[in-house]
Amino acid sequence: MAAYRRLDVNEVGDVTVVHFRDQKIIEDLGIQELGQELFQLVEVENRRKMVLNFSAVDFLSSAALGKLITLDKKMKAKTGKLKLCNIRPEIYEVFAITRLNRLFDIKDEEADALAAF
Amino acid sequence: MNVRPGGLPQRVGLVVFKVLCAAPGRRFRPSSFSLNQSSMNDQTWIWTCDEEIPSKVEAGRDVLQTMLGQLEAAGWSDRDLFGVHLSVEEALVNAIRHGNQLHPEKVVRFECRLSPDLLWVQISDEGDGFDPADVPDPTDPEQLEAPSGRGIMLMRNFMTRVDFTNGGTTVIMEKQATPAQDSQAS
Repeated sequence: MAAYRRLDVNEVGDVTVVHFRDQKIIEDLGIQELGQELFQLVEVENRRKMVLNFSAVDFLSSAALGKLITLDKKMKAKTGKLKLCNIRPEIYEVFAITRLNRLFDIKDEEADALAAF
Repeated sequence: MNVRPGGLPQRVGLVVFKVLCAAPGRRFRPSSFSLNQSSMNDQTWIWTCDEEIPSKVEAGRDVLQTMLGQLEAAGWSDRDLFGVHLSVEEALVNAIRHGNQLHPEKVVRFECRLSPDLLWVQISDEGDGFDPADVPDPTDPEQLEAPSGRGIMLMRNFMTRVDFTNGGTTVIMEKQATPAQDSQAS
């Protein structure tokens, strides 16, 4: 398994669970690296079931949304499934305002996300 | 950092600001200040700042953090802090990346006034400007999967008022603090 600077990557059964190490996901604060690491999970390591756990994240900008959308596209292109969980209310509001809560499958807790595959 | 903490009386602050704006060699016009002056006359500013920021995406973060610290000290709610943080972050990135296009000789001017319950922010760049009406609605089904173009929508949702002036090279934002009982309920 590759070493990641921005992510903690674990396996739960056949699902890859990803925790973000950064509290704030903002443009140019490692966001390019974050995107590359997420894309590598899909394109190089061929992960097909993935949960992104946002429990450590207390802020993200629209640039971060762009990375998540690109990740979702890459995942769908390989018929994989992506789920998001543990999103704090203010960040969920960002998803709701932009209607990305319709694009992404968002669950309250990690257990809910794992059970949904 | 040219940040002035503490309470300048409002009239003194206005005079100082007008003198600053009238100084020769300034690259930015203060037209929007007079536009908003009527709505701002009743305010007693507890903190103001007026900064010129180089066109690097990370360069506005110091003044942004200072501003958030002032909001926190004034007792603004976490939700309001989040919305202001996001909106100013998006506006600064727009000005630096899309307006000035990271040009090393261009600067972004960041002006801010804070009263106990109102934040006023004006951000100006030296770019070509744009028409906000030309920005596609990112919630349209055709745009939903576009990786960019959501910043302005987020600003409009989290701030009380967002106006673009000077051909789109200046954005003025206001945020009215959420009353404590509403903040707890949300």
